[in-house]
Amino acid sequence: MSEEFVKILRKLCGDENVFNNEMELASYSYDASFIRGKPKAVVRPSSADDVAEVVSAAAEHGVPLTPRGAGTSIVGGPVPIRGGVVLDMLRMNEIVEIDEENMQAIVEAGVRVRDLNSRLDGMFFPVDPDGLGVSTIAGLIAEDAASPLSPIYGTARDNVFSVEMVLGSGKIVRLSGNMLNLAVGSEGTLGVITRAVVRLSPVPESTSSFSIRMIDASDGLDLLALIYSRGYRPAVFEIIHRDVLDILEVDPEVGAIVEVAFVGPQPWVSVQSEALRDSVEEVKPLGMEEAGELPKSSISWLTEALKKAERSAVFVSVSASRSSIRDVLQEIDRVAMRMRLKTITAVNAPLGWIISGILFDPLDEREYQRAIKASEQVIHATLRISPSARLGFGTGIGASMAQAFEASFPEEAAVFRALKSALDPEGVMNPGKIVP
Amino acid sequence: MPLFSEDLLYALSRCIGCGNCNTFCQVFFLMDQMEKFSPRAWIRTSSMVGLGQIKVSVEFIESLYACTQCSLCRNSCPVGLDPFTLIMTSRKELIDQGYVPPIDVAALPEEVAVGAPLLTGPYWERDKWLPRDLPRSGKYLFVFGAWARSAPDSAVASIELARRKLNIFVADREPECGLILKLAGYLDQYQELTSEMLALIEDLSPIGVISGCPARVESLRELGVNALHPVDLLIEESPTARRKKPRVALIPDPLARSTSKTAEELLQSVLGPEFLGSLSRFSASCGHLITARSNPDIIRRLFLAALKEAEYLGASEAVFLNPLAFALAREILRGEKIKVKISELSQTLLKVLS
Repeated sequence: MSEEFVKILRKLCGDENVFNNEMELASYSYDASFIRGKPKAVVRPSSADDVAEVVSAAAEHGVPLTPRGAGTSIVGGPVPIRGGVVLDMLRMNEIVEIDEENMQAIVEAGVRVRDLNSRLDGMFFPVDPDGLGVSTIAGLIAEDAASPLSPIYGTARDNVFSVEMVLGSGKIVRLSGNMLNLAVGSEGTLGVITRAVVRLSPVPESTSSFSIRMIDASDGLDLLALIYSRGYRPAVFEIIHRDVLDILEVDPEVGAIVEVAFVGPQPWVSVQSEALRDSVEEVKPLGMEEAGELPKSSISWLTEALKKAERSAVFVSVSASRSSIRDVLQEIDRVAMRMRLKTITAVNAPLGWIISGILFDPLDEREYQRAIKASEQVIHATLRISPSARLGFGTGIGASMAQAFEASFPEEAAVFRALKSALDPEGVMNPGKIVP
Repeated sequence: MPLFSEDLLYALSRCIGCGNCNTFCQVFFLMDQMEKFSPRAWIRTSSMVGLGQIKVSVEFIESLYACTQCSLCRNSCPVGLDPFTLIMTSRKELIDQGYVPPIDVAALPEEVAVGAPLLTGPYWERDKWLPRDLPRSGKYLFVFGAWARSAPDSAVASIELARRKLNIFVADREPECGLILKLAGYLDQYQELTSEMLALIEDLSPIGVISGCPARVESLRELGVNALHPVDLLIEESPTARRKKPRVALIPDPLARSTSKTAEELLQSVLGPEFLGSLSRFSASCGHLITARSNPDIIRRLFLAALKEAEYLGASEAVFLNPLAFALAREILRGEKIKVKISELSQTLLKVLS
């Protein structure tokens, strides 16, 4: 990329919104994954028109463009692995409208979940993967993110009505209905989401939660099958695998902790809670605590283990059919043992969504390489065990799982490439993501 | 020789990059969420520098000294790192390698310690503003420092408040607290100053030590000294009916959380409903001086945003708990059009209690 192009960016967005010194570029070279890539320039647009002009210029000059929100992806979504320009969307952070009557909000791309939720009264935006509200809403839509409450509120897909997107061609379009799927989960590879109309949900009247200690994760899966067969719908059902509990030095007898919550109108919550108390006896738990608020999320369990272990982690995110989860967990344990590494794993059971972190010493290059290898083995094992497995469920495929995706799903990867060349003919939008 | 100690490099490299600390950072939001002005960037780029992936550039050092040491990020890390301490330790280890703060051409530790030369005022000529009748021996030692030289009017006010309750005296020598040195990364020099100060206190063996600077009071307490701030003495004061009270919003000191709390209680009891509370999003400490000297624009924005918040709350006066931060605000906001009057706690208290 030439100096000439930086000049063009400055002209389009103003000197103060274009950076290219080493320190500034370094601070846009990471997210919350192990993927790294330094851009040649960073530009901070303030409107969809700015974005459209930057995208057109990038397409004309063949310069890779990587949109970035809060940089919280665990798969390298906003990391510019092919260099080029990072499009930092955080200046576009206006909550344009909150429409209480229709329970929807119009937000610009850089609005964080926390910003929106703190402005709402009696309503909330339910997709909040880290539970801290740090992520931007457009980022969550771009990755079709899931979160602990997704079993009843769905993923980002189910919480967005329409988006405004700048396509790789530089055209600004409004996508809704079926066309919305071009934006959701597109990971910035087809265009840049600049604005979204999102669904708001009422804050549930009542919450009750259960933290159940079990001998094994399988018992948790059996419990879920039982309560599903009786027609109940937990809002949260997360299984904390034994690898996490080992690190946290929980009583070794406990092989899994299951966090369950019901939310909704009070009578419905108490009926479901009663049903859970009945069902749980059938799987013979080691113990159970109840509370009136949402339980500790899987991500909190995982970060607590990272804190205790004082390690970094390479994350893998996959979904598998519920019936194959126990085998996948076993395979993760085997990979860990074979590679002499520790893992931290949690399962959002209703979604079949498994997040596993492989721990490594951040200053030990060889251990880090082993962790990467282990993450690949976990992916391959999951695909082998569960034919319906999906890579990157809830997080996007990003850069960290792109090779595995193309290798495992060559036909689907070809379809994606065809779609991309139609909407992003110059191939400048976030190259290297979804497919290598 | 490696740039950083292994412990520091390990901790820096362990950051998972979730960005939660950024959402606690005043500077990050004041600078329009530019990543280079964020705890995550300070940690990540320090790690890169330590691993030799990027070089130590002027821009890198400048960015590292853009942190105002407000310490709000301290408990934000889900994997148990302490961003504040990591940033401070990075500064220290860089200084050990010869990378001094980007403050002046010749940024000497002594200059950093006393806050010169950004702040105007009678730095050294204590006798010109110190009340003449202060004894040189007594029960409670009143200590000054950069704050008193930068805002002698505040120092005089806090002396007045303290002597209402206690038998105070001043020393011939003036012990520096060195907190600014510590925050800038001159840890060794800070420890030297601290031992000097403790030796002086031991020498004079007062019952207690009083200071008008809340951060100094709390750091003395951490060293095991019986230290008091005027608000600790006045907490039992009751409201006076006589004059019209200002409508006050307090700008707390993040480095002095317990004194901030006591000050709040005191203001609540003497001002009643005229006390509007502490600003929740903004705070100010002596550490701001370091940022002000490396990037004055950040501190200017911070003060303006704080005053805007105070105005929004309906305040007629924004009262700084930290007198050095007050002196800094007075200097930096000179010439700015602002609607809220800025003031310092001792002076405000002296007015409402007399």
